[in-house]
Amino acid sequence: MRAGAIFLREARLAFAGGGGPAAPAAFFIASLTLVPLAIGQSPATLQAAGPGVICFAALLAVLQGAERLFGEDVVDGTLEAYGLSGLPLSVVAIAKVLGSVLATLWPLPLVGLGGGIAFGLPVEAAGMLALALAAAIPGLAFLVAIAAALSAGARRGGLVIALIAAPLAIPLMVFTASAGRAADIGNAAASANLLLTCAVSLFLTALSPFAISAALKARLE
Amino acid sequence: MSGVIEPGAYMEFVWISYALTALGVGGLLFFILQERSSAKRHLKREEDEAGE
Amino acid sequence: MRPSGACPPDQGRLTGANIMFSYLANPQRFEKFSRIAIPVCGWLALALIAAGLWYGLFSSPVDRFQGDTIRIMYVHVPSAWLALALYFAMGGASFVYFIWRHNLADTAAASIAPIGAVFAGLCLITGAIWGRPTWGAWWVWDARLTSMLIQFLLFLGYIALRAAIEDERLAARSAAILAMVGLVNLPIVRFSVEWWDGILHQGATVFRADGPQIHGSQLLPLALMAAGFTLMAGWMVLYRMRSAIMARKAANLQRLREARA
Repeated sequence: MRAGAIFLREARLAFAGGGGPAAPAAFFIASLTLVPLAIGQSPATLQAAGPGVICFAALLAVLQGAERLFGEDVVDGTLEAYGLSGLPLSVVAIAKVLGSVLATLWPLPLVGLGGGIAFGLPVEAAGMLALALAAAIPGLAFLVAIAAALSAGARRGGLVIALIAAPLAIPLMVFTASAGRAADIGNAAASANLLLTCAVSLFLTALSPFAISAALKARLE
Repeated sequence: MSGVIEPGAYMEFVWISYALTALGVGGLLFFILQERSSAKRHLKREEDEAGE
Repeated sequence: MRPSGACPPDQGRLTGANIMFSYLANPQRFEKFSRIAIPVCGWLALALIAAGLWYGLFSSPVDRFQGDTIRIMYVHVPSAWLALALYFAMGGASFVYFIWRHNLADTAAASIAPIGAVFAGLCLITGAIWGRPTWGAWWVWDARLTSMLIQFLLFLGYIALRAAIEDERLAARSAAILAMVGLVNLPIVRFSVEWWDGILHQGATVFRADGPQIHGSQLLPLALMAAGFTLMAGWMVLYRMRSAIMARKAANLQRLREARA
């Protein structure tokens, strides 16, 4: 079995079982819709809260599909097949996560862009926020995948995933939301925040596969 | 904020924080001793069973 | 994070923590060690905390700026120190367990987690109580308070993950990976929180709790309490480790008995 096959399988599975990109995007839109209803329709409040709320809702949208990522593989024996395939488990992890990210999470920056405009951000700020979200999502997905791999086969795995992933997601939340906020007030720090988002996301993308493969290996023994 | 607090003011805050710390540490101690006694009881039961 | 391809055990023998755990991995040796260390830690902790309480509550002068509220520092700062130190200890023990598979190291990590969570929680509560008179607010979203809240959540995540996985060995391995990931991430989290704090509070003048400088008369009770709390935590961890070893022994006997029956 080659990495490409795992990648394609994951992408196909996302469409077959989970409605592909529709589910996280719809979840993202739904949670953003609730925000003005909850915090009030004052334009100043919405504009100030916009970047942060959008990042936060994006994290929830990424978390929403996490339990499926490894949980089913552990139960139905697919993981054992991966283990026997001779591929390093870290490569399996990369293929799986990238497959599911590219199949399901690509609309999130676009929804973020629309959400930013709807919350009253200037177009440039909403664009910066969408860019930062696009940079952050691979890192977020890998981070959530660590949590998913660690709690695969656990009771109430979804709850544990959220509890584990939340503190680890802080840097990405901070830098992504700060990029949007700084762009909103015309602060030059926006691009610095964008770069930091990229850096953290790259760091997580590079190192997470090892943690994921360690977690999967423990489940194979 | 003028930034100076008179001596003796807010003493109740001091007492409450010490009391809460004592409560937290005491609760932890209770839990730890409880854990030990249940482990001991379990071990004793099993050793008695094994001895018979 | 472990490189693929197992690490030959001889290469890592030089790590201090590993030597310690290798030595103590023998149950009799741990039994002997803990028989001495537990009472020593316990009594020393009791004496130091008693002296620290006396100095902290009665025999130290009030602070020029903060009056008597400075006395909260003598329980707040040691709790903060312990929360951080226990997190590093948990991460280190997890690393040793993950690489060399010393069960004792896992027992240590598992014993530390709830203790660390309690001290992180105490640090947050006493910090809030200290903040009310000095800052005028129970809670301020500044870098240090927020970092401690995150620390608390990391302990909770570790405990929750361990509790959620039924298979004991799998729970241990998963929890060890989580602790190591958390340790690798901690510097980035800290940096991001400092960064975020800078953006949020630029130019804001908060009356900082740490005042100008610490005076010698305040350092004595603080040092006594910090040392006492550290020994107390050491006592708690060792005591819990012994309990865990007893519980494991009992579970093994029970399994044997049930297999025979």
